[in-house]
Amino acid sequence: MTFESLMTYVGWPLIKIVILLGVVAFCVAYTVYIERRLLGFFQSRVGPNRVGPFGLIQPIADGLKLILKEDIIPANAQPFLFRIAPIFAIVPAFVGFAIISFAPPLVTGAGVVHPFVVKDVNLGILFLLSITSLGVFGIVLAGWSSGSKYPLFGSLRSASQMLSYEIPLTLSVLSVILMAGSFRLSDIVDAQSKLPFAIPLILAFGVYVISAVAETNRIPFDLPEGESELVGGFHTEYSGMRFAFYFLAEYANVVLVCCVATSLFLGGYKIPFVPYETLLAAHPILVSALGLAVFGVKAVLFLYFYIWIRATFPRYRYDQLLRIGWMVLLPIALLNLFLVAGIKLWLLR
Amino acid sequence: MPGALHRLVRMMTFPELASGLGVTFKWFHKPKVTEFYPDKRPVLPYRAKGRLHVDLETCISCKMCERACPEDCIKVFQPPKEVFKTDKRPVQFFISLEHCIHCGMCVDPCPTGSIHHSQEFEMASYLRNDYLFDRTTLPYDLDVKHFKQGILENVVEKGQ
Repeated sequence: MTFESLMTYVGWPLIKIVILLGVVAFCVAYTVYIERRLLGFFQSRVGPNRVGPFGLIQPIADGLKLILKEDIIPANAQPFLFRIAPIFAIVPAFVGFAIISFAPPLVTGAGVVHPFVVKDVNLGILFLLSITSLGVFGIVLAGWSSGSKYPLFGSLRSASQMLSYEIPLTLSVLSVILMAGSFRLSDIVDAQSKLPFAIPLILAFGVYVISAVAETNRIPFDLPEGESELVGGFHTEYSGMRFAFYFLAEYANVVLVCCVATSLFLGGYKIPFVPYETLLAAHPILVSALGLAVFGVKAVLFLYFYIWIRATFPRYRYDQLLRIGWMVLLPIALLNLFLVAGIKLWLLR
Repeated sequence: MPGALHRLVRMMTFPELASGLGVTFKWFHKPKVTEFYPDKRPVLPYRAKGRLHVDLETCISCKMCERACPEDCIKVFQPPKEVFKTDKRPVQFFISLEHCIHCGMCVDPCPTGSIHHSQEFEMASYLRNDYLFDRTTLPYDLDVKHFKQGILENVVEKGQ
């Protein structure tokens, strides 16, 4: 094996993965900061502002505190499963970022293309859906192995919730795939160069937003960790770094959902109402930088909407939650899928 | 049928959710109620009952405050009789802030207005002796000029 092929198949992907992991971990830490800060604003408070200017060093202080805390394993717990469960939660959340293209590929010279993505898999969406649904194992294992009743209840609720909402989520994503005609994420982004899919697929977008909130176990669907009922839900017995893993996994999922929504519905790195070709003619590096910025702005706006939802709505009851999932979202998603399929078959031949 | 249609429209557009989102968005832009105390000093009300201050130059050692105090935290020592005829200023004046409940009962009977509440409220200390104010510590802590100016400023603010 020559050095070039080694670099192509091992070296560059590894470098990309390391950079992506660092950037994503940084973004996730500051998502926590942004969330606390914005929640404070929504509740007429100021949020964390003591550590550093505007409290900007707060996530680092939090992380340091969690690392230094004692790692407790309860006497009733099953130690092996208890130790391995946080890894099951955090790995799928970070792996999902591998297929997201954050910026248009950088074209240098004739035919040399550097894509801003770890691996543009041709079945990217399927990969993403299957990987993110593995995250439920972390939660179920945590609840089962803790040897305590509250985590068990929390994990059971979480399992049923995540399985129920996986279906409308997948169906709403399927309509996007029908419109784009490809499972590859970069193809889907390219298909939105004229119009973001959020406008023609408004139903699918709504279903996606609601079921994404439920998938990431956030208010108003945060039953698995409802503090007033279940102490802390599935991570009641966790402390120190293992708890931090669950925390990170939750927020990594939030960031992932924002990035996926940006790619699938909001047009990804495409600048709205500006044709891509005219920009590309101007300057290739400028196009990539602008694309990255546009992607970031869209994702942060979606994140803002997410936090806004959290600041507004109270928690649903358990039966209401499942009824919304099965009796409202699923029919809407199915109807939308049929409509899109019909339009695609008869009108957009 | 129109009722059903109306219900369907309401179900699909979520007007309640939108109004809820609107309420939180309104509060997002409102000024925050949090007081940034150590960074910014709070504006105290005009009659805030802070630490007791005594103007030992105008005090006539009448012991009215000592008698009025419900917690017995004030102790006034008159000068000897010969001196008292000409100079009525106390030889010693104790105020124990450990016992003071900031009720203001000593301020009301004072004929000369030499005992009063100040605007000072940061009284925490690690030493118990710091809470016992006597003749030597009281006048030095006294800032009558500043206090009176504060009142004047408050009055002016109120007048506006």
